[in-house]
Amino acid sequence: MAFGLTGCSASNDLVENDPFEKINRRVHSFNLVLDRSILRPAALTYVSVVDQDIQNVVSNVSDNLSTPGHVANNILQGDLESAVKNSLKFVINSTIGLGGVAKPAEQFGINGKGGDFGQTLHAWGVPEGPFIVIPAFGPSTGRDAVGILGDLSLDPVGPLMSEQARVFSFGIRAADVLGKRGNYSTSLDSILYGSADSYEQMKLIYLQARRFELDGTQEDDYFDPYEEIFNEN
Amino acid sequence: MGALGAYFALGQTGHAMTAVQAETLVTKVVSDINKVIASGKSDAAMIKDFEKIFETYSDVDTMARYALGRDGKKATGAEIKQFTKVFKQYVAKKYGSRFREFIGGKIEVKSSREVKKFFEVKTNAVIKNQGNFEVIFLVSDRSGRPLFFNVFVEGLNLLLTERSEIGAILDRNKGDIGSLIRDLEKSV
Repeated sequence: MAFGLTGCSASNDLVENDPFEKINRRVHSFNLVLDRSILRPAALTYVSVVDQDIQNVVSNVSDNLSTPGHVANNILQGDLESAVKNSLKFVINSTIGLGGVAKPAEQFGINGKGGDFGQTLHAWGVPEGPFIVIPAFGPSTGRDAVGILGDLSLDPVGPLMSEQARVFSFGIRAADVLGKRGNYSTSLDSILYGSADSYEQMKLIYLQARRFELDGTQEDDYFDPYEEIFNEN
Repeated sequence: MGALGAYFALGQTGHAMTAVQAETLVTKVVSDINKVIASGKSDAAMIKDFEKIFETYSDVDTMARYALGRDGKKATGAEIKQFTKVFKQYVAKKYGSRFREFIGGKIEVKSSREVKKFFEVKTNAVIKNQGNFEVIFLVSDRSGRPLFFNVFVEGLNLLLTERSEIGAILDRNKGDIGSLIRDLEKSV
């Protein structure tokens, strides 16, 4: 098993917090089957059949539906400026922008920071927790998994919606997922199907991307290959 | 820093590298990349161009050695040489084939500073319909001249990602470097 560790010796602490690797890998395999048999083919069909303009509309409306959740998280993070801007954005895009079909608010420069509950927990000092793979969803962390549940219960608009509006909202978001899977298929396919160990690559890329989203690039991420090579010799 | 700073920086002979030199290097890299993106060439031609950029401005030897990880310690000189050659082609193909997505885009140097024992040069890539991306180059002259040895695209660390991938191919081949080289040769 000595060779089994070569991949992990790669790095700093980035990939170390994975106590559930065994079960994560099984869930990952299951998710790959789902992707190959359902999500990927549906997404490729979606992006080839649906006109680009309509895809953009779907993506815009989906973004608009997420805005009230951003406002809730802006407030929880004490970012009142973004909360005000995002509230205005939601009102403008929902009315003048016809439910988010267009994005006039952004054109006026009215746009606050996005926010999710995982990010709010981060702002409150909750640590990242272990890496986990959620069935039918994908890579996450302990903190982000709690964040997903938080966002579901935080949604300020959801409870006010009629049954029809809720179905519509779900449909738009589902279509947006198809669009994203389809439009990023080159990158995603190369990670999921083009790498020697897709689990390891997905974990590495997910964690790096999420940490960048939360904190930007940190000096701590800069390791010195010269030091290692010279020390090893 | 202006022209005066660059003048003094160039006046120093080799040993004490400056942020200006790092920035000069990355400005050249970025200008070459912008030319490739604007050329509208075929994928294969872009990959060739990218390999050339990689070869000219980066410390491929160090990057390849780092990507090999601990198994690099037991590699022979000949194996390291062969691996370095195919690693260069592999990186050029993997990342060069993505350049198509950047057509119509542009990269600009933003800032540079000394970090630890090397230099960080931040650039901003503006891609049509996709907005801004932060691309960071890490530069050192410990190879003998200023060359970049790592790239971060929106937080994604190229060297770390490739070390993990090379490690996984090695695992698949029970740590055998000859088999790793053959696998990579097949992929480029």
